[in-house]
Amino acid sequence: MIKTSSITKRFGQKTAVNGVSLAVEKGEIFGFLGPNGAGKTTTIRMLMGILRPNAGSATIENLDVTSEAPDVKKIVGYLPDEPYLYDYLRGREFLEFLAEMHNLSQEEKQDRIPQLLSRFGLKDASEEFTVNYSHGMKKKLALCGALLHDPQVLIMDEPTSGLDPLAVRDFRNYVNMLAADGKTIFLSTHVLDLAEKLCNRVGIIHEGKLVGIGSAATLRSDIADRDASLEEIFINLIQVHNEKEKA
Amino acid sequence: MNRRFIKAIIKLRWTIMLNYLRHGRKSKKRSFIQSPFFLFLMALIYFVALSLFFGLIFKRYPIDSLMPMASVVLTIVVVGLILFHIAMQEFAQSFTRNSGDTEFLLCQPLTAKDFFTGKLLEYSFADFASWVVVLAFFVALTWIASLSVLGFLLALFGAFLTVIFINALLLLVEQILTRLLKPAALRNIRILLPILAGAGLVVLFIRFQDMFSKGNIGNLPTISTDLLSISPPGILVGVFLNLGSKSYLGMLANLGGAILGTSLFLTFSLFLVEWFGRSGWRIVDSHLVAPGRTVESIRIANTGMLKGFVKKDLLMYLRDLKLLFKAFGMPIAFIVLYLLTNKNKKLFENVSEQSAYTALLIFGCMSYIAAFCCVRCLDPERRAIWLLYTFPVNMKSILWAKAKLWAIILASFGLVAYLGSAFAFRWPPLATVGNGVFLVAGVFLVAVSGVGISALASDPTSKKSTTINSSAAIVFMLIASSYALVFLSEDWWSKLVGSFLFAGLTLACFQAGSWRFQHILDPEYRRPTKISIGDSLGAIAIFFFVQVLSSIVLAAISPDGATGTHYALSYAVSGVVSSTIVVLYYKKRTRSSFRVFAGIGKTRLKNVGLGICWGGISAAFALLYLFVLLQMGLKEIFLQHNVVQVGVSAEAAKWWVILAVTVIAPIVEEILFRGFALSALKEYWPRGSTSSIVNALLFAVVHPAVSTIPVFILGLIVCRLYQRTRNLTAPIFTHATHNTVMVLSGLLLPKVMW
Repeated sequence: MIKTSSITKRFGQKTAVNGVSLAVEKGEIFGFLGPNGAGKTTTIRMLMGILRPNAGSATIENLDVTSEAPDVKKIVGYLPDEPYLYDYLRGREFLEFLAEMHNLSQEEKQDRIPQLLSRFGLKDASEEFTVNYSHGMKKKLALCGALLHDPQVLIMDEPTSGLDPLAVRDFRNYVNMLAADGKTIFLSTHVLDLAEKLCNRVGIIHEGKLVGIGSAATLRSDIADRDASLEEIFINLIQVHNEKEKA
Repeated sequence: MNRRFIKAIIKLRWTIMLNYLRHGRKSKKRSFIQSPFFLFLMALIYFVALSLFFGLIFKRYPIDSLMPMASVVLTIVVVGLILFHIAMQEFAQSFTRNSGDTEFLLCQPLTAKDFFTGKLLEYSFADFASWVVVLAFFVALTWIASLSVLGFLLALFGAFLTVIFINALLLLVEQILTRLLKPAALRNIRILLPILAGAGLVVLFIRFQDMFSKGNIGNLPTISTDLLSISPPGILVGVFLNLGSKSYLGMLANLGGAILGTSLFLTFSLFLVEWFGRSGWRIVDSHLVAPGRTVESIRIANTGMLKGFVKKDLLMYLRDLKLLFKAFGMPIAFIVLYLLTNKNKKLFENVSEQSAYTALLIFGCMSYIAAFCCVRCLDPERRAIWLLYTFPVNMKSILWAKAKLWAIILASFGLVAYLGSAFAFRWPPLATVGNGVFLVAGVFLVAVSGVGISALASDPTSKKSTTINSSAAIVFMLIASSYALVFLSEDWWSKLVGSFLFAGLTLACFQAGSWRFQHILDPEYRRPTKISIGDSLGAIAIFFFVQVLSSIVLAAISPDGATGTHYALSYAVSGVVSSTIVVLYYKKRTRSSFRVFAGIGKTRLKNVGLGICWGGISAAFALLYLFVLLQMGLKEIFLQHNVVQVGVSAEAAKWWVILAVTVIAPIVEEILFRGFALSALKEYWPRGSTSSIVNALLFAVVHPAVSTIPVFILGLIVCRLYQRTRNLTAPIFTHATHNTVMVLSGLLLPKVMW
């Protein structure tokens, strides 16, 4: 499970993430929603130990993400928003490199790499240099990489951006399957449709602050509108927040 | 200063030293070698040794052969120790500050199984072994150039056996000790190492004495060969050679020496680790007390990770045509240029006919290729940095493991370059074993600094695409070439210049690298705005480099020109260029005006007067010192004083030289040494007196040995003046007055006395 307690990140004068506390249970699919620049990516980067929080802390499976980073990485898979890859490596070689980094055995390597490549439809492109991949293919390859060491927790930043509708559907099915296996999934998105269809619970972040958290049903009761779509909830919560700020 | 204060200081130092000796790693206080007291002691030893050298030895042996030798050895030892001390302190601090990681240090436990299954390289301890392997390689391969094919084969074989021998010996000792002794008792075993090392030193001393009595000391390569012959690889080579000639006694002596030499080497490296890494004994403990204990993160960082990175990087480099072109284009251009100049001998007669320069060129080109790859080592990770954060190792280990990997690759490139030049030119100093060993150590250091540059040039966390360019590799090549200059050139002045260049650039790169590493690990880290040791030495290095470069160009343009004019011109050019760079850099770095820092512009008449007065006093002391030398019957030494020499020489161009000495030198040297270096030293030793002593010492060692002591006094005076007036005016006038008086005495004295 993932837990953050008043995690805060400042960049100079600007506070990108302001005291966000949330908990994601095991086997849950948690959607992290928010408009552009709300602090989604910053939160995820702090969870991955890429950025050090200025205040507060975060744990994954009771391991502190900063001080016990190496152990955390053994159980976490990560897909960034812009998955830059090594240009002159072939798809297969890229995964092999990752496997070596995760100390996978030869059998595991030979077993999982073709399996993952075919699941995401990259089998034909596996001998191609990644520099020639389309954005969607890069994303898929990075996702293969994130799943390579069979992580307990999967953290994804905008996983579906740049994917075609078919791939999005495949992705959704796959994520549901992973969650059924008991894996914890934390994904950020601004595509509300995806969140509504996929996530058990969502957290809405705006200007660095968590303005709402819970299942779609709870959020609906919060704003006292039983038929509201997630989009309406989202806009409502943000408006409420903006009015509070003004006042 | 009153007596109570001095007593308190002595008591404090004594307590620190005792605490350190009693509690070792437990003590949080600075260790002895890191204290200013140590530097003071070094200075004292330096001067005592210098006086003894001059007083006793010079009377017995012809001065010509001893003079360069003495100054080179002493200056390199002192400068080297100080620089090494500072560099390591800075380096170790920057790497251990955050988490106390020690994986870059030498020793890690090793088990018998690992040894025989070839998993040696998995452990950092094996770094030590691989150092020996590289060392042995050099010894063996340099043998080719000096001996025969048979000698080479024997040497190669011997070197490899030595590596195995050392490891087996260590392992055996370790296994026996852990079985026989309790851990607590085991720790006391380390006392044996210094004893054995002491015995090694005695052996060394006897050999040196032997050389002294034969009067054969003027040759640096001979000494380094001899030094090497008590080191492990050299001994095994000796054992095999003795075996060939059936001299069994000699073989036994060699084996005995092997054990002594190994202890010496081990003790030295362990002490270095202890003193500079501040965690040495912990490593020794884990090495001796708990063999077989694995350190998970280190293991991963060193095996799968390195294999993965080697494969990945090589694949990527080989496939990127643009990169290949960049890597080889420049050296090819260099070689074409060289061939052209070589053909047109009229123009470049002085340059191209010196095989030293040719060797330098080749060394430079080869190291460029290696440097290019090395410099790029962190670049591919720049945009894909997120990926590194997904690996189950901490970021620092990954970066460091990668840097280390490329450093080793570069060291092997250095080998190729070295062999190439040795083969191609059969230039005698190249073909000596000692130089080869020095070279490998240097190349490794160069490589590490190259990684520093690479880290500097590529900022993985930055979103701006800071592209790696060839300029980083060129800086790198400069470092490599300066190192080659130290060991390829025959005159001691070039050696000194080279060592300064090398030390300065290396340190600057270390510093830049550690800043960048800090920045990668913590994006909000901002580099300090204050001037550091690396900056000041870098500035001095630039000065020397421009001087060397301009003198080469001058020699090429007008081969018949007077050397005095050349000297003065190159001095002036380098002074102007280096001062400009320094001022610009300073402005950029501290975002404040140079005037504030140097105190220029607040010239007061009082300071001018003060400067002239003190200049007179220091010149009087210098003259007194020279008179004492004369009274001792050392007229030749007196005449070697370079300023005096100006007066004595009949050269027409001497007025140029006088101009350089009396006007340009004071300004440039004061800006570099007082304005820059002293400010930096104060960061380390805030007390004025300590930083002054260190500064004066540095200032003294870059001057000819005969004027070391007067210049040291001059340095102390100007440091004091600078600290009192906060203005460079007084120091500049002091320096100028001092030099003018010395030149005048050089002009007048010979006429009066002879």
